[in-house]
Amino acid sequence: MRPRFFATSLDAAGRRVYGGITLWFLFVFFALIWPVYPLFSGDRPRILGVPHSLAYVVALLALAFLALGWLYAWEDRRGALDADAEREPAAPCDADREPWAAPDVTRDADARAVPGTSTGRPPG
Amino acid sequence: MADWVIVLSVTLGYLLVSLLVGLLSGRGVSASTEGYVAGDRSLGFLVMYFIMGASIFSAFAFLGGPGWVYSRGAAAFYILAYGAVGLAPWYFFGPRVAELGRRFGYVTQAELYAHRFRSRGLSGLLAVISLAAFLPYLTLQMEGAGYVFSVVTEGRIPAWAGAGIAYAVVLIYVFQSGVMGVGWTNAFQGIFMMALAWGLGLYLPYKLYGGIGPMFDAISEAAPRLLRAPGLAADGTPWSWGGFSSSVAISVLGFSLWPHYFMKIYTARDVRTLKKTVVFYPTFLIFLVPILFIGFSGVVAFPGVEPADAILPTVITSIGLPAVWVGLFCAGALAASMSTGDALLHASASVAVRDFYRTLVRPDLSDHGERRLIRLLVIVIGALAYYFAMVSNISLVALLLLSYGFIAQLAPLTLATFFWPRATPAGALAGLLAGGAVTVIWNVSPGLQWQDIHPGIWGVAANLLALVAVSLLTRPMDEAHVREFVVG
Repeated sequence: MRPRFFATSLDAAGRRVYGGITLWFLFVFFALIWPVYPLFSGDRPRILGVPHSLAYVVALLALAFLALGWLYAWEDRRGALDADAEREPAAPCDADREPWAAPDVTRDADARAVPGTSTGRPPG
Repeated sequence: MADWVIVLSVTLGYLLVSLLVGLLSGRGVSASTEGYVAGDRSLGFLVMYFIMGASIFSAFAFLGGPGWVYSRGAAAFYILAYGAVGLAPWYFFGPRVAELGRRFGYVTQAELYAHRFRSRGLSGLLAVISLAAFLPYLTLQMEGAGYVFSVVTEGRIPAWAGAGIAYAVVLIYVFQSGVMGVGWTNAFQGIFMMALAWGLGLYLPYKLYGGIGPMFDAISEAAPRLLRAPGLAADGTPWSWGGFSSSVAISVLGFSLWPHYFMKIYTARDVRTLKKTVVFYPTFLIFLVPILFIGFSGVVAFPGVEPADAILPTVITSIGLPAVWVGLFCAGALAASMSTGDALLHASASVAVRDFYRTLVRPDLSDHGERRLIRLLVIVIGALAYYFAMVSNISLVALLLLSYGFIAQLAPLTLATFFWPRATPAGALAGLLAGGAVTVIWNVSPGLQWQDIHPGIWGVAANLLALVAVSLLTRPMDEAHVREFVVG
């Protein structure tokens, strides 16, 4: 069994997007530590009166926010968020009192087929 | 009316509102363990947003943050730095965790790992690690609450009484309402904290220096090193890039895996709610920027304050603010302490019962009995933390620093759970034990230090090696079972 980094169900566009976002976050992470951050770690130039060393970190924080915001909007356009929700019905839990035991696949399949019926509440 | 009476009245008013919000919020969920610990998996975006934001911004951030800036300058930027990417992993593995939680009924982090690796020992070990990390963290929140009460009432309410009053309120609403009490009080406390932080963070530089730019100009002349990353070390000498970078790295690895945050994945109503919470989390993180300004505002105007953590109360009580504002500050600091303390208290009791007692001692415990025991432990653990906060002299800060290294050891385990089907129970246990042992050894052996690298980094390296080596040397797990967990 080999390690997996992307879900096999992803299409080419999905792989590009998730690959790009993963690389983007790696870029942000490495930009916040040695040896990249020392290049931007001085007091000046000031940005809106704030030291450059602080403005730089805040800018990267904003870039991380924008990247995830864009990914969320992209997934929403593709209907991926609702598709995920539909796969996640609430299921009864007490039967699995021992979580290290083998799961009851039949019961899980039933729960997936009729979302929410197991608890009497609507799903989601 | 004397100023301290006004301050106390405002503070007690805040506590009363917190108590009411906490008590009223628990009425809509079932009287089961799932209702008490995971809120029947029904929390929406607003509460999730504030739970994550307010739980993370603790008394340490509200009092310790300005203290760090005041004494160590740009070193404190590391908190912002790790926050920028720290929660992002949730976006990718969070939905998987939530889905498995619904299918198999998990309400704690260890249940997921124990099921994936079919190991009771793993559950018990994770419970011990979690509790060892939680207790000093909770204790420091109580110390912070007591300290604030004592300072703003000029010693008329001693620290032991202040912490007692604040945490009696926390105990009542956590006992009564479980995670719903934590969630809705965090929403109230989060809004309060954000308003206060931005108000003070913008007001103090203008009041003391005439603006944010002039404040940094004054610091640039008096103590220029404070404005250049990576700032100063605790002893006042320049901090190393090795220390700064490894602190960011270890915090990024562990941030999203703290058990009391991780458990909140199970409380989300759906994937959309969970992902939206992660997307908007940095907007809460920006709340740290005015906290940094508060610390910087004391550097030139109030030199020589000891301990550095006292800088915020010192500034507040020295600039002639109306008593109502001082009371609001006190309430804001208590909100920071309580919004983290309640989540820790709730998670500690849940983990102790669910991952340790029920797994290793009483597998036949009924749901009703389990919920009753968790509520009882809320009181016991609260009392224990109060004892450590007010009576014991053990070094909690050292324990807390060590706990960050321990929590980061969950990163390889999490990766293996979702992305490496070949990982085995023996490999998972070996990784955790090796990582924990190396972290402790590096912590207590200064001779092993190199470039100021955080001990947890060496622990993660040892953890990965042991996880991979032992997994490859032991029999693979049943493929059908593993496929339930592995992404793809």
